[in-house]
Amino acid sequence: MSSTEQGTSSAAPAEPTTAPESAAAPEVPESFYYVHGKDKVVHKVSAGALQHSALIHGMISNLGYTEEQAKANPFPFENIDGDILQMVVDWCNQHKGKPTPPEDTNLPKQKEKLFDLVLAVNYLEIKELLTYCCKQVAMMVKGKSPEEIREIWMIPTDAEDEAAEKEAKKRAGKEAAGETAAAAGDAK
Amino acid sequence: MRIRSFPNLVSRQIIQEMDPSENFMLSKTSKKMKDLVKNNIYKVDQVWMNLNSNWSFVVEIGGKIHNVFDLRAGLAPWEMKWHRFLVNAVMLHPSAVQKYHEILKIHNYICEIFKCESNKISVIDYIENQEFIDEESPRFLMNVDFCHLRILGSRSPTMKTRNLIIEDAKIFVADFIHHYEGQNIVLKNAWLNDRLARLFILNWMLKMKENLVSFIAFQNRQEVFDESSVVNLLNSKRNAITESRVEDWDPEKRDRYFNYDSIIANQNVFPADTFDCEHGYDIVREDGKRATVKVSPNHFMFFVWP
Repeated sequence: MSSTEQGTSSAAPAEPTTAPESAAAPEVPESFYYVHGKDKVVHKVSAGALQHSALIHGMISNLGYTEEQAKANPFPFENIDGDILQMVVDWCNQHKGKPTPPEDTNLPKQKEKLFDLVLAVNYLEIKELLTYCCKQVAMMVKGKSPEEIREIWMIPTDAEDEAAEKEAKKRAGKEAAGETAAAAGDAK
Repeated sequence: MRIRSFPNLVSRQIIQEMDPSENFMLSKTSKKMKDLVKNNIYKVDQVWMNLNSNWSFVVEIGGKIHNVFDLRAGLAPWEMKWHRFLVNAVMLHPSAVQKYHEILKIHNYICEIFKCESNKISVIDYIENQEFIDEESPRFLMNVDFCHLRILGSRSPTMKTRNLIIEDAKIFVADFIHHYEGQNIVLKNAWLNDRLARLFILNWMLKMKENLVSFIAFQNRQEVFDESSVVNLLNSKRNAITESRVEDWDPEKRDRYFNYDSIIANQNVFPADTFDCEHGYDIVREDGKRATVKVSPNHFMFFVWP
């Protein structure tokens, strides 16, 4: 299903295996770029697929990398888990050059995965996929009571919010006091 | 993973994907979520109270009605059942607030999160021409500050409503001439006659309308209102000594324009010269109370000066 190629889990980009070329290859060979997430696994993705991501598209549009340069300089997305990046790459490949359907049923059903996907997609600025994800997140609370929503979306209660705010203030106060003491020490 | 850690644009998109009832429920989870919903909610045109079969709060978005919250059966007052013929606005008198506190609270809350005006409860009107049923008299209506009715049933309990508009008063204008005890009333499409207008003036002279501030009736175009006998009555009271007397406008005694500060002014568009009392007939009672009568074939207006 996916033309994504995975390398080894090393800091340096590994040699990705080439995606099978179609019989009728285009006259101008498609350029490929390389991305990796937190797990350092490198994914080879075509420029066409990456067009879905406004962030990456903006990054690559003026680079003019050769295949070797692109391979040597994979885009690092250290804030995105490897499996999430894989999902994103799969989605971009699947929808390469195609109009996006009104809904996408292949999104993860697990809450944590979906939330991580939302953050990744938002970061990578993939507008259509973000819309699907937001719809899916909204669907999670359809017909639910406030208590159920709180549980599903892990929303803190007012008391928890207040306690967290108090704690943050206390911490900020301590830090400020520490800085003042350090400054006084320096002055001596 | 907590939903609150989403960037604001993502939260906004999620909220925009949710329907009004889901957003209502979400806002109930915490104060911070309520703020989040308020700050990111789509445009809602109006909050309505739907008193059809299932009493509920609904919102109107682009002409479509979306359910927000069903009132529990025990919460909706029995009297409100008979509200359904109201045109569009009911304002609660403070004394009613205690009784209907919870409903008001929900109403105001929904208005707050959907950023709609909360100083009136708008009622969806499904059945027109429904009359009050005596046994089920809507006491609730007696406690409202403002009521806007399309049509009036017989034996209406609205005679004490402080600010009242009746869109299609017709023959019921007589009921209000005789029995209205509120402060400001506007009757449209009225079937006035000279006898009723004279009676109204005499009632006020006899201190039978002590709460009254203004009475405005616009005549139905097909019904003839001969105002001359009203004018004759007023003229006959000029130079009276032992009873109420009639005067022309004296700028030293009152302003030219009546200061109409009823809530009705926010709900109804009046003809430009409605409150210009330059050519009105001033009635001065023995106790010094002053009122101005404006009368023409098209209207009968009565303003009591403070």
